[in-house]
Amino acid sequence: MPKIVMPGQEVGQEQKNALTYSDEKGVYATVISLQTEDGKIIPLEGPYQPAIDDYVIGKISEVKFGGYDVDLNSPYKAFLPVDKLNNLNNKTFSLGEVIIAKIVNVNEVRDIELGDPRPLEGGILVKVSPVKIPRIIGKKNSMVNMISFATNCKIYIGKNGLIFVSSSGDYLAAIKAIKMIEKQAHFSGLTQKVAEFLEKETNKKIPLDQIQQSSTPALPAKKESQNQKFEHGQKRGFQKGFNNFKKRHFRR
Amino acid sequence: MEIIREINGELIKNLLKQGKRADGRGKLQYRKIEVEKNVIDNAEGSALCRLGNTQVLAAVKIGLAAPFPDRPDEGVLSTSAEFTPIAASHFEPGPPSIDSIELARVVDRGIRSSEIVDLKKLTTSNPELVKAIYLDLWIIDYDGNLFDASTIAAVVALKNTYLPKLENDKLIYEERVEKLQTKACPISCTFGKIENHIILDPTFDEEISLSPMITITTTSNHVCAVQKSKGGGFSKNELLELVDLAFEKGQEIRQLLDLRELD
Amino acid sequence: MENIPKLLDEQGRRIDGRAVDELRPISIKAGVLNNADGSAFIRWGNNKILVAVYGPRECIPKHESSPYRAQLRCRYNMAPFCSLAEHGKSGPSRRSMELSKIIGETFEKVVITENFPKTAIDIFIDVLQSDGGTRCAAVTATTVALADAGIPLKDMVAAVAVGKIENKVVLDLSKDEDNFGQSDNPIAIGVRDEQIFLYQMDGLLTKEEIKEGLRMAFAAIKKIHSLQLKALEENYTSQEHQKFISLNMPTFKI
Repeated sequence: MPKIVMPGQEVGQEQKNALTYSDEKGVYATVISLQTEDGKIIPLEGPYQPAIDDYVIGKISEVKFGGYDVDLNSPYKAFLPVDKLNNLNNKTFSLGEVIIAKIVNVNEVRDIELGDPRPLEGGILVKVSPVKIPRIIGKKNSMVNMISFATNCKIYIGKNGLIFVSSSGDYLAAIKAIKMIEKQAHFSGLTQKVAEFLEKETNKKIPLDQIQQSSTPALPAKKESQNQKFEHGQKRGFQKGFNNFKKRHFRR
Repeated sequence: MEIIREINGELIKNLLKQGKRADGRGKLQYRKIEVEKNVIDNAEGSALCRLGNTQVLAAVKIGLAAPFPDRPDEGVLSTSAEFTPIAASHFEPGPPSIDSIELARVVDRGIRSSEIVDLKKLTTSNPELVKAIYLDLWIIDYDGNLFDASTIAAVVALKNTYLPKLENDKLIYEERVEKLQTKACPISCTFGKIENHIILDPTFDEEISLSPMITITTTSNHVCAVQKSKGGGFSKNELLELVDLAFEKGQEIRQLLDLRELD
Repeated sequence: MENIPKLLDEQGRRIDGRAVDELRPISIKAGVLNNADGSAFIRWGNNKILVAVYGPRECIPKHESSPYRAQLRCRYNMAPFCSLAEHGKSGPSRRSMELSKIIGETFEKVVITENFPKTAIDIFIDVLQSDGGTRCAAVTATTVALADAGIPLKDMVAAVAVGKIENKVVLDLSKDEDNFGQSDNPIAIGVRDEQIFLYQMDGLLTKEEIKEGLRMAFAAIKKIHSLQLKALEENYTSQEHQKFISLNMPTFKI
């Protein structure tokens, strides 16, 4: 049986990784974690630590000559340089737009460089604890594919703890399922439980053995530069309204 | 920081246009309301109100003060609100913010106008000294609609307040002798408008995309305080309709929380 | 001059009936707030204290940030209605500012701040009801809130006060014992490493009494730690989805 270990609790003698702390006497957990029978440590709480090749979700917060600043809902700054805009030649994104992008580089003070940006539109963002993301993705994307299948929502996962659920399907059921996985991530037999929950919510039979498995995460289409159907005015107008709100509320 | 709220604001707008809310509620439906009373023993009265994820603590302390020169025969009622940084990531420590002052004043108007407490009964035998009611609204968790949650917490706290013993112009806090007499029971209802849709009890995410908002405090037969907030306006008919709705919803909440009005 | 109550009777019992080395009933709950990254509520005797942790988040003002580690900031705040005496003033007092500083310093080397350069970790402590020993209860709850936020800790810290009443060393002073007693001596200890992270003292104690106090504190810390673990574990066994605070939750004798 895997067991829950608490900060300061000894977790064996050899393991040393980012989630443990060691002194001359032993190795200890630093965050609340699950220790599996073979001694592996899986964190149950914790902030996002940026890593190369992660897909993350963020918002274009500033447009500059060399690229875009992206707000990842994390304390660290992310930058999307113009030369990483795939095969897009000119200006592509506008202020306030939400994107999913890949981390191509992180330096030692956690400045993040992004690439492969794709726009996200027409949906809601759900915030979950970043350490629960692997569970929400499931083995070979099976969990997220199952939620997608049951609710007809497109779901894109940012490793920084933001999940995009399109409003095309039964997004309320999808959000409930995601929150349920977040809460019960440390229990076994979760796939079965989530399947039962979704069947009840959506009145739809879920054939567990037919849920698609894939080795790469689902991603939205790339943006085509010719085809800019953006209502810039609308976006900016909203942004302005929010900035006024921010002036009052988010004075930090 | 909170980019999610900003992004979801836009979605919420689009949903409301279709008559739907992000949490699946009806447009004129409150979130779950729960009230716990007598939660701070050291305060003479207290209550915690939970409205969905919003949590507000109201605490009443009784003190002695000099009466206001223009009202020498009345006790003092003083309401303040604290947006402590534990409640939301954008609340900062420091002097009271504009919003906390607005909240305190709106709640104060509702309880003062409704005459829930008869201030004339708070005099003492010494004409230089009257009893003072200090009402503190302590915001513990912020998920929108602080007005309604605070009013409910304040009313329940006042209705469960005990006066300490008064001896030689001094209060003996260890001995509580009688219950503070209360009559009316003001309840506030906060509505928001987006395009032509009116919604009740907005969450934090909804508050961002709403304009305008209006808080109407009612007793069973009077309106006792109103505050229109944020940009934008209501039509005359809308306003009258909202007054009707506020009476109706106010009565529902009084029944739900078993709060009675006395004549 | 006020009458000083008899703090210890002939049988060695204290005003509230406790033995000299007995703690007041305590109860801790983790994860009570929705907006904070980590939170804890502690009832310790008549103390009711709420702790919220935010972070690591962007460090504003920028000039306070460090490229080597996260800034750990702490604010201890007393609600104006927290004591049985008259309505207090809101805002920081000299006392609350000192406590903010020493509680922050308690955790400075316990939190692994090196993992999060350029950021800030904020600890906010609200004392809703006070009855002596608030700083110890606050330190105990802060550890739980930090763990709940997933902020890496080298150790868990628990705290308790010892003191002297009627010439006898006792554990966990209540408000009256603190006011009328001879010495107050709050101690915070790392549970695994047995490091003393916070130590304050007033009044007069002999070296022997300090030694006896430390012995009592080290024994009590083990019990308090078990409650901290219980609070964190309960967060994982409960099926409750909504986070909420119950200010009248039951407390337990340990």
